[in-house]
Amino acid sequence: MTTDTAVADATAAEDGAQPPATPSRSRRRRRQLWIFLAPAVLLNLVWGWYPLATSFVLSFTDARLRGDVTFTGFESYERMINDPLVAQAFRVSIIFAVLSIVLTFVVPILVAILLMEMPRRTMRWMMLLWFLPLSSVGTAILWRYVYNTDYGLLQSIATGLGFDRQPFLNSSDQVLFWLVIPGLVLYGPGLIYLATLQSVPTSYYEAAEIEGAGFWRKIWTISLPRMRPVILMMLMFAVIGNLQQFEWPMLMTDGGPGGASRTAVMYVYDILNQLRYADATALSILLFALIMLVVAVMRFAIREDPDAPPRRSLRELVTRKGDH
Amino acid sequence: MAALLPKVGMRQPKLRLSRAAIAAFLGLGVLLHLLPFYYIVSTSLKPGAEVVSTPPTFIPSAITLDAWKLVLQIGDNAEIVQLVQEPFWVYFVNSAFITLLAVGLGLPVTALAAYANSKLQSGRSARLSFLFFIGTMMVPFVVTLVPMYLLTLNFPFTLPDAPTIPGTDSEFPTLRLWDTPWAVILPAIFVPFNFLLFKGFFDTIPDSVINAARVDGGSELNIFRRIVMPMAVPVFAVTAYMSFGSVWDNFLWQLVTLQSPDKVTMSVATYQLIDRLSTKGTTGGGAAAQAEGMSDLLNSGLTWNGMMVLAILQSIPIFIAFLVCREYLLRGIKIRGLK
Amino acid sequence: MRIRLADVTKRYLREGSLRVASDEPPALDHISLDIADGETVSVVGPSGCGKSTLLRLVAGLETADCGTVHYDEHDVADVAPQDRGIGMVFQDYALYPTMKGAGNLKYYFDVHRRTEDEARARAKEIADIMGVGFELLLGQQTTTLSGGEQQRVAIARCIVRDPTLFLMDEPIVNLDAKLRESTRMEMAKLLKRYGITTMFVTHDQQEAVFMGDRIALMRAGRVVQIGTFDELYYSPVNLFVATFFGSRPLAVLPATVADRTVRFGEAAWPLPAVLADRLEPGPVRIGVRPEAWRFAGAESGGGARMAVDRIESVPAERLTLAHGTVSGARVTVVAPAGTAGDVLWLTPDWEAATFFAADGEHALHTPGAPEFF
Repeated sequence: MTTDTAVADATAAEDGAQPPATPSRSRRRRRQLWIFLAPAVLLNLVWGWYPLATSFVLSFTDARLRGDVTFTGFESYERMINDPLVAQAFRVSIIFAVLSIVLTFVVPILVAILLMEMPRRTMRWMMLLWFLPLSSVGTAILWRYVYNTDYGLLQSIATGLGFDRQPFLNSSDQVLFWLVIPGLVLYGPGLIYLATLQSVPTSYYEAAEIEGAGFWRKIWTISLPRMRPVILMMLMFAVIGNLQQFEWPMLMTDGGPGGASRTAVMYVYDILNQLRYADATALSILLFALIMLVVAVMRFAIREDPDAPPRRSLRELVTRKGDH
Repeated sequence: MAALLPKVGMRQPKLRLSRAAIAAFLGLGVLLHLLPFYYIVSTSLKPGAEVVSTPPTFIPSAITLDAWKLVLQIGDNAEIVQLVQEPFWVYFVNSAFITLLAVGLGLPVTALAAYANSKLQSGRSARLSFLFFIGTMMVPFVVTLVPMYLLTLNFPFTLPDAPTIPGTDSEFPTLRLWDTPWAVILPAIFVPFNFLLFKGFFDTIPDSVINAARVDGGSELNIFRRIVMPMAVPVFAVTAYMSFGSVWDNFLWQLVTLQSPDKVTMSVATYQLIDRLSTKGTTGGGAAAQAEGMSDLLNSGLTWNGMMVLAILQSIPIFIAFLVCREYLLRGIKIRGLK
Repeated sequence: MRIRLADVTKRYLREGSLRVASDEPPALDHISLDIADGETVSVVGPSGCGKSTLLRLVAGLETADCGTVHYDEHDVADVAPQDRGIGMVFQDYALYPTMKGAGNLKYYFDVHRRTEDEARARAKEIADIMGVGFELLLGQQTTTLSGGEQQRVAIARCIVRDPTLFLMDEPIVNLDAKLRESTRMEMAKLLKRYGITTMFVTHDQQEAVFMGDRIALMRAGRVVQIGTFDELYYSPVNLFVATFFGSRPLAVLPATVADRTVRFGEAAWPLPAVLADRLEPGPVRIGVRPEAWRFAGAESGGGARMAVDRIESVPAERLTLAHGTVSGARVTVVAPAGTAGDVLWLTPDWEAATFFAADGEHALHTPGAPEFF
């Protein structure tokens, strides 16, 4: 519709006639803006902010099964905190997250840094192989088979090496460790690190070389600082994601043995299956609180870095011009 | 290319050794990464008995397509039909429908919003709407799980039942999205992380190009379509790849919202099937249930080789998405973190 | 088309502030400007003076906080940039990177629903005007073109639509020196040929002088002075204008006027009658251009002693320049050929000297353009 007016206006302007002033140019601009924004705003409101807000409300009610919902204060929270399985589930989630981040977070960063050393052509096909994705559901199925205590590949390797028969996923002590292991050979995030590294001008490294910096020093003083914001963001995602682990335990162990791999989210799912909505919400908000606590501690710890830019106040954040 | 190793003196033995060490390390990593791929494929080609034999074989003793036939013609097998009610292509089509629609609607919606935020808004309103879009990204999914589940049951209420209209006995009319593909599609359309990727990319397009197009007379929509979109192919590829993977491979949400046998997706159906292969770890009567489930499956001829076929079917679309988008993946990622 | 700006003010939102603060220095501060039909006005000034903002505002890419912009008789406040019939060239050329050169030219016709044939015919016409080899550029992806080639395509894209107003935002600043020279010529020729009203923004005074019929010098959001080069050079309204123009530095001498005499350091000169009548006794600052000095022998007296630091010869212009100090003030003079030694005795050419207030920067007396012929 704007194109039509544009045509009319342009023709008029050429004829030397008065360019017809559209009375509300800024209003038209605003309308255009809203056409662009509206679908996303609507969806993010309905499926993002609205459930988030009502989640807090629900947790203070007795919502379960069907029928009316009344406020019951902290009853759901009380019930959840006193549930011994909740403590266990949280312990499982935390251990899983720690193991997973310790074992799998660094490798993709290292891989990205080293891949950059390869000649361009080598890098292209190496990248193809390194980041070839496997469905995470598929991975879980495969490893479940590999971990089988009778005819699994790992068992035969273990016994072949002279070890006793291993329980793998059937051991409540080891199950979390074995659940983390498949993540060791998934390097997906390396792609994001690689993209970040590619934007570092070579001149930085050349300058460092003239200063006499060696291999590790270049990584330490150029590559890593350049990747820092992205690494921090990915770490944040890793923490949030791993504390909410659900898929692999569900597919590989179903929470077993004896709940030793039942994560917090799996327990939320169990309670939801019992249609105890308020309890499930309260539990998920407890998990939310835990995650936020970890994130806050992380941010605080990271702030110790002397080169970090000063933290912005919320007001500043809100009013900063654009994101440039 | 980064230059961690000096270019001059490349022939020095020490440097050569370093380079070789890096290559070896990377090669080993690739090998480890590709091992699962090999094992999945080789297992899927083994005969049923070999899969559960000890010791397991690394190289199939005989290559057979039995497992593939079994899975693909599942409807013909009376015994498996008791375990999975629908032929597997139904689940595959369900997954494909949901994923394609979510990605197909999601990219334009997210890209338009990010473009508007990057180029049409400025100052405080830009910052506020940026926070509005990004704000839900850091919220753990689990927090909104229950309300969203209730929302699909009684849209637009996040309650187990629709409230009654004040002064009457009848309830508010609600829309039931639960157990329809839309329950999966609608929440997956706008993805804050994709917004971040788009915004990061659009921020690198000079304003002057947009201004030139405005002077040329393009409407904002035309500018977006004709000027910006062709420039943004890489970021579209990245977001397409990422959201394709996350919807196709999503498990928890599809498990919660889809139930009817003809509606569930690949990942859920696979889970349901594997569930029957398994011990229920927490319950006492697990062994018996396992034995029973196992014998059912073994009778039908479906064992781990069939499960591997499912794992491959589950992986192939992601695989294809990667191959299609790979040229653009590195060029499309332009984020500077959240700050 | 005649362009008139009346009292235009524009403030940007400062980073981190909730609303535009009234103490925030405006990007454009009560600008009034009148550009005649067919005239080329160069807008020049140091970076951050608001010249690009001014251009974008005239283009309709920015809106003014207050004040009006008129195209002929029409207030264009509500006219979108695409409806203003303008052609604009950007500093970074802003070519559409995914299109070929021809696509860049065609986009205007596409969005205005003109025919393919018309677009092609116009492109052909423009290619003839743009000269040899231009048609080759149209067939290439713009990202593979060199800076100069991109610039030519950008200019072609701007004129292909027959604009009624050219707006150029530092269009040749990114070219290398030699190319800049020839492009400048070519553009001047084009502007002459079309006779279209043009605003030409640059930070380079030579370019401004070369391109503009008139020059508007801006500083801190204000137009300090607008006029021909002679007006700005010989009748600057203040010290800023006087120091901005001229490729070699203007000497500024703090002096005192008393008893129809001007004293500067140890030197004292009787003032010509015209000046003596105009200047109040008291401190002044005298601006003297390098070419506006007279030389005298040491014994003749009355001259000021210049301690020479360095003699520079500029062979291309057959000039000898002497740099040094006179009573502590930095002075550069155009010296007679063959000048040597550590000392020169100087007297300002009073007919070419400018007097500025000592406490402000406004001019008390300007020489005005000399009548050469």
